[in-house]
Amino acid sequence: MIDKRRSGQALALAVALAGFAALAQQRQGNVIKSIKTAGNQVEIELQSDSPFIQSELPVLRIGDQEFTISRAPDDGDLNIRIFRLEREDFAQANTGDPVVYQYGRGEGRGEGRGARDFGRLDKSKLDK
Amino acid sequence: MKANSNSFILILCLALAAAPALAQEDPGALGPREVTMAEYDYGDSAFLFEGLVPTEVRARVHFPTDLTDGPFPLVIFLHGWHPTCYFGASAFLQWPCPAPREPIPSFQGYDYVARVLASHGYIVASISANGVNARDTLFFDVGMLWRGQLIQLHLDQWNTFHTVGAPPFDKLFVGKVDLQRVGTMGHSRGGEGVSRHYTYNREIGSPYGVKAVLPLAPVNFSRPSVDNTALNVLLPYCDGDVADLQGMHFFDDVRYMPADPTNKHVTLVMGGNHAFYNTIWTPGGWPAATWDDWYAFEDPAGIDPFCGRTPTSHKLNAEQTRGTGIAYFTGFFRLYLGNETQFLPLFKGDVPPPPSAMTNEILMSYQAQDAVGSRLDLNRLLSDENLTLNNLGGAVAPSGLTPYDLCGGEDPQPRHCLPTQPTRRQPHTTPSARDANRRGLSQLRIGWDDNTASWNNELPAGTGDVTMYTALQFRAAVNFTDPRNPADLPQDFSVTLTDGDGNSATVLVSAYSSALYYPPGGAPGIVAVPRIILNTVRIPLTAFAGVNLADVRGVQLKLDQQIQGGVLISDLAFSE
Repeated sequence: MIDKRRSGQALALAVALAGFAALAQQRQGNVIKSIKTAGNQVEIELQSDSPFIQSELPVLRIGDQEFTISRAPDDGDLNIRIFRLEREDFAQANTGDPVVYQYGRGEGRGEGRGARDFGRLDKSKLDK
Repeated sequence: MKANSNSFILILCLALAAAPALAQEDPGALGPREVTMAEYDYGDSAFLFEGLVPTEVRARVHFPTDLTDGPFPLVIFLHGWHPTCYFGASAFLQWPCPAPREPIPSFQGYDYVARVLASHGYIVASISANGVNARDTLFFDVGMLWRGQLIQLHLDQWNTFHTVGAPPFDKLFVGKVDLQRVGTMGHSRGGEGVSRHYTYNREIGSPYGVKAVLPLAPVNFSRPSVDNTALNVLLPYCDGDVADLQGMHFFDDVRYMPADPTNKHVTLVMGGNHAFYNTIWTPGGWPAATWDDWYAFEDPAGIDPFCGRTPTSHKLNAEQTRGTGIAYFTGFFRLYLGNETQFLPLFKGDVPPPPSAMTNEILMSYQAQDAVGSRLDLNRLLSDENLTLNNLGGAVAPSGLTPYDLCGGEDPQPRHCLPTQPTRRQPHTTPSARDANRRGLSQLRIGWDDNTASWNNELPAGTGDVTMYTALQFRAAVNFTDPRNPADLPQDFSVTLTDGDGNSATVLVSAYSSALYYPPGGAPGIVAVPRIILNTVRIPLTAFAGVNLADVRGVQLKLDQQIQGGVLISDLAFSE
């Protein structure tokens, strides 16, 4: 909590922090925990230091594809979100495609603080 | 973007000074009836969505202790998405909650307003939807049909309470519930939930009379059409959760439903956030899963000049935020379920917010029902034809306007009016997750370089009898991306009415409305603000002294108060 009496200092600090926001997002420990076959679907499990707790629609972007069917893990961990992809959609994704989590569909939604960079897709991790 | 909070205060004060000085009843004041609170709970898995997915049937109820003069209208509250279980300070998303974890009672977070509403003679049931929240994103519609069916199940239960009685109330409510005067309020994903419920109830033959729907800071993934019922969308300007204010579409989408006999409203709460409307979600309100969404998701350092922790901030605290809920939830349901028409001026924006709202920084949008004597559309501004011909068949002509085009509406209009800005700053055209190709509000985009510019709408002879109406109105916003607008200062212009004998009268917009404020907020890293929101400008026709209102022939917007500028306009009409 920032004391209003120290708002000037806080403002300067915040401005500095804001400039590094994008970089910080990448450093926050966003990882693709697993990629698993589940029947006719593929489940991609994301783990993040920041919980997935906003009300807008969770969206996973892989390259230019968007995936929007997701769930929490059975243990209810808010720092994990599991997306379900049809196998044919996963087949169209390429190793090396950027993987981004965002709220709401469409390009340009990666600009908010809720957006997170999960690096690049490695399809060789399927069921490993 | 520079700070502009002071200009916002200035223009609001000017507009309020011009508002009628009549004493008005405060809809949010506690009513005369003693109130009882109770709960019913049929278990964590009492409803199986699609016969499979467990959902609790549980609600907290506020009602008049003395039920003798019932039946009373019924209002259902539906909370939004939120973690469902907790243990200590940790929160989880699962359902049912495995021991030792316990449910987070989000449904108890609206007691503060339910109590006030009940004191005026309403039965208010705030229902729990943790089971939906735990799994809604597994469904394409994000659980909206599920929410709708859950509400319907509660209404069925209330029908049982009303007809034969049932535990835990036994016969208490028999004959006391008016299921043809039902209102719904839904928060966040619950906002689309109550909207989907409205369409679901209609799809199955309208067994219940849903007469008023209030989406609060709602998502709008699928764009359900809430027409033919009174609608009030409440949008908090400093919402950091549903940060694009996509709920604006609920209002925009139903403005011109043919023969719709109901009014539509938007209540824009400047400085309001998302979470404070629910006490359980507010820091200090529960041991786990509480936050101020503006700081949690949008502005962690609190640097925004309008929504942050800065000296110029207009952010409302929790008590103030809930004050706006008390005033505008209660007033809306009392107006449309209780037919207390003394509150209609509040929802038109014709009078200032009441004391219970705890802020004056509230702006309204209003669309009257589609009926002769209620609304006469002069220019809907929906297609390019409306750039030269209005809805009464009169000529439309710009003078000195650059640009002069439409944006945001149907193809071939550009999809957004501010092409360089994030969609979170453009609620009227922000994309919808489950109806991604659907367009938004068609807006007239104009700018001027000298103060002789104008926009002129003629009324053909025989079409200009507006004596049945009380106001000329349109929606407007200052285009903060147009550098011709003086930064941080409100815009202003004049409106002239001319009659068939050539008599005319001119009034200033700022004398009656604060809608031309310079959109506040914006700092490095802040995406959600400033925002473009078109609010309604209403000018009483009595202000146009000397003009024969039985024969109006012209409406002119004269851009004469600033040398330069740029604004967005929609929905030019005469209105009751």
